[in-house]
Parts: sequence; C-alpha cells; structure tokens
Amino acid sequence: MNINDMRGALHSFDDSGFTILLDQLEAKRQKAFKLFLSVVFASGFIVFSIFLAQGFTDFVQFSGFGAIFISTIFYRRMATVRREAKGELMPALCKKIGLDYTISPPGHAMHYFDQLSIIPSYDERSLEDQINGKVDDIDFELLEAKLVNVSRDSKGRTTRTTVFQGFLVQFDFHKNFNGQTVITKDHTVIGNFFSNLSKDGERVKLEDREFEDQFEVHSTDQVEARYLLTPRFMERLLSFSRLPSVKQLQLAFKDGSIYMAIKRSGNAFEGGSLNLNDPKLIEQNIKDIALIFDMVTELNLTQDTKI
Amino acid sequence: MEFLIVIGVIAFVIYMIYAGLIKKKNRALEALSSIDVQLKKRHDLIPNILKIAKKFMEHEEEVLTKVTQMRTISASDYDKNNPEEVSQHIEANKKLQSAMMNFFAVAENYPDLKSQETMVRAQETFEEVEGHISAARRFYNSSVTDLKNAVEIFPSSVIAGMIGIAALPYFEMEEIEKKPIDASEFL
Repeated sequence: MNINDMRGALHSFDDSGFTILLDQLEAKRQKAFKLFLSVVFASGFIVFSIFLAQGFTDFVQFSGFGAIFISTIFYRRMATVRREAKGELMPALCKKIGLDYTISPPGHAMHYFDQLSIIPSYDERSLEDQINGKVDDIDFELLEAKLVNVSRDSKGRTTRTTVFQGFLVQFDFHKNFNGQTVITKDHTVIGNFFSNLSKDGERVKLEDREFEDQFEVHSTDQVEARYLLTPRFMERLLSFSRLPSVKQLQLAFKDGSIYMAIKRSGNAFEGGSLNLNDPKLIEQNIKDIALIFDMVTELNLTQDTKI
Repeated sequence: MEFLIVIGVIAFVIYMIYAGLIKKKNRALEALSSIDVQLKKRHDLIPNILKIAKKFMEHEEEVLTKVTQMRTISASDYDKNNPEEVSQHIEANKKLQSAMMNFFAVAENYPDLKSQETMVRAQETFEEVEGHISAARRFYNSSVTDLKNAVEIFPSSVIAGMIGIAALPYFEMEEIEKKPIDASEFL
C-alpha cells in the first residue's frame, strides 16, 4: 500500500462498526463523570463542614488530601473508559492501513532516544500508542512519550514538570552512513554552549542561514553530516518544523535510521475533550495518524531519494 | 613587573592567533583530503561505467575519450599547500564532472544501455558518490571561508602574512552544475 492509498483508506474508514460500542462507552464515561462530580462535591462538602466546625486544623488538612485522593480514583475511572475506547479504535484504524498498534509499548522502545541528545533528561516517563509498519517501503516506529522531571525543594516538596510530550519516531533512512549526526534546537550562544557540552562530535556549520538560526548540528563526521543534510533536506526540515502540529523538532541520524523527537501540545489519539461517540473523535485520531504521512512526504523519505 | 605582564599578555594573544590560524589551515587541508577521498571513488567507478557503455556507444568515441582524458588529468598529483596547484586540481575535477554529465546526456539516446542492470547499479553508485563529493565540497568550502576570514582580517592577517599562510581556493560549482544531478533522467 503506497502513501496515497493509505491516506485514502484512512479517510474512508467505515466507523459504522464502532457506533454501538462507542455509544456504550460514552454512556459509561458519562456515568463515571457524574460519579466523579458527585464524589468531588460530597468530599468537598464534608471537608468544608469540618473546616467550619474546627477551623483550619490538621484534621481538615488530612481530610482535604483524602478528598483529593478519592476524587483522583474516580477521575481515573473516566480515563480508563477513554483508554478503552482508544484500545478498540486505534488498532482498527491502524490495521486498515496495514500498520500495527500497541497501546502500552515496552520501555526499551525508547532505548535509542535515551542515548541521543534529542530529548531532555527526565526522571519519569510514560509511553503509549506505539505504531509501527511501513509507509512507502520505509520502515518506521512511532510512540507517544511524556517525560517528567521531578525536583524537590529544601522543604521536601516535590514538583513535577513535563519536559517533553509528543512523538518519538524512528524511520529507516535510505542512505549509507556510519557516524552520528544530531540536530537540536538552537538555544542561542550561551544556551548552546552548555547544551553542547554533553554532545558527541563537532559542531557542523551549514550554509543555510535560516536552518542555522533554528537548529544546532553536531556530528562525528563533517562530510557525512553534509551528505545527510543536503540543502534540499534542510529546507524540508524547516518546512516540516513549521507545521502547526509540530511544536518543536529535534532529530538524529544513527545506524541507518533517522530519529525524531516531535514536541506537540496535548495528548495524541485521545480526541481531547470530545465525547467518545462524537464523529470528530475518529477524525481527530485520523489527523494524528496522518502526521506520519506528513513526515514521509514533507521530508521526502522515500527509498530512491538521494538528495 | 607590569612591563613583563604586558609582554606576556601580548605574547599569549599572538600565540592564540597563530594557533587559530594553523588550526584553520589544517582544517581546510583535512577537508581537501576528504574531497580527494570522494573523488578517488569517482575515479575508480568511471572505468566500470565506460566499460559497460562502450558496448552500446561505439559511435560516441569522442565522448568516451574525453571522459578518459579528464579522468587522467584530474588524478594527477598536486601540492595541497600550494593554492595554485589546488586550484588546478579543482578545475580538472570540475571538467571531469562536466565530461560525465555530457556522457550521461548522450547515453540518453541508447535505450539498451538504460535497461542494463549493471549500468543501473553503476549509475546508482555514481549518484551516491556524487552526493558524497558534494558533501565533502561543502565541508571544504566552509573550512576555506574560515581560513580566508582569518587570513584577510586584521590582526590575524598580519601573522598569516608573516608565517606565509594563504587562503585556499573555493571548490565552486559552475552555474550549469548547480542543478541536482539525477543520472536516471539520462539513462
């Protein structure tokens, strides 16, 4: 199946087989939502009553935390229903275009990304939505990652900061190369100085001013880096990085593959706040999957590409 | 004491400029060597292409001879530290590339050659080698720009003049060659 056939098949996806199931799941989600709201109000009311009776005591604080904990459990029930819908819908959508889908990818799936300097350092990670297969004879693997940094202040309070949320993608790159070339966001002079300390290889100075303004390139082989980053390919990378669905792009070439870390806003393949039986949910999932095609077409990753 | 400090600082600055110049020169020479590595691949490939083509292009003796001549000239030894000889070497390789482009244009008239599997493979390899040459050329030109700036801008220009460091010539493509080569269009 070529890329146009895949696009066609995806956009002509027959969702009639899912209507009943999604209606049932939406009913379940609404029930879980109502329950969640009731729990929030009830526990809030109890905590507030104790506060009125006792003032701001340790017991009130304890009750407050308990209320939040219970509310979280009920919120998770809603999330579980949403995940159930995704677990039904995404494999079917991917199967339709000859791709494989795994809702919970194994941890080693991001082994290479950990080694390359294209994702920020992190303390906790959550991986989901692994899609792999072939697009126009190009093998690829995509997964969605959320990377979190955990810091503790002097009082022992913990702060969690999301440092990356988006896609980690690996495509076979049909050019022969042996070294490692890493393309990261330009952080201006001082930022680059510190971020370059942890990078392998030398900085590569390229002719494209706009590309140089946007990215910082490091490689273990100066010639190979230019062989990979032809003037046309640099233009394509710039154009891809400007797509509305791409918040930030960092990539690397290693062992015959191109690795991309694509920052996005929000969780993909979830349909945002849409109801589970809303037809736009499937449309949104199709749009998210179509980003894979955009990568192949915008970057022209087809097998016979040499420039 | 102050005088010695001032002398020390000046000597240090001069040394840094000197070291920077030598680094840039060596970098440009390294880049020139990397071009030669890639050009050697092209030189090694051309006889194979000509051998296959000869069977089909018997009436194109002139085209084939031109490629052979240019290949011989471009493979001549030269002194990497002599900008004039580097320039001649670059010019010879540009002529070889033009001769190869002409060869592929003429080869377009021979459909039998186009369908030869060995030719298709040789042409794919040639295309890849051209990609590497282009990359090496870009690395070289970037290094030459750094060296040229250091050699021409004061105060490093003074030290470059004193120790005899000169800028190397650019390896520029002619206008006609700036179009990406897709040899498959010709075969």
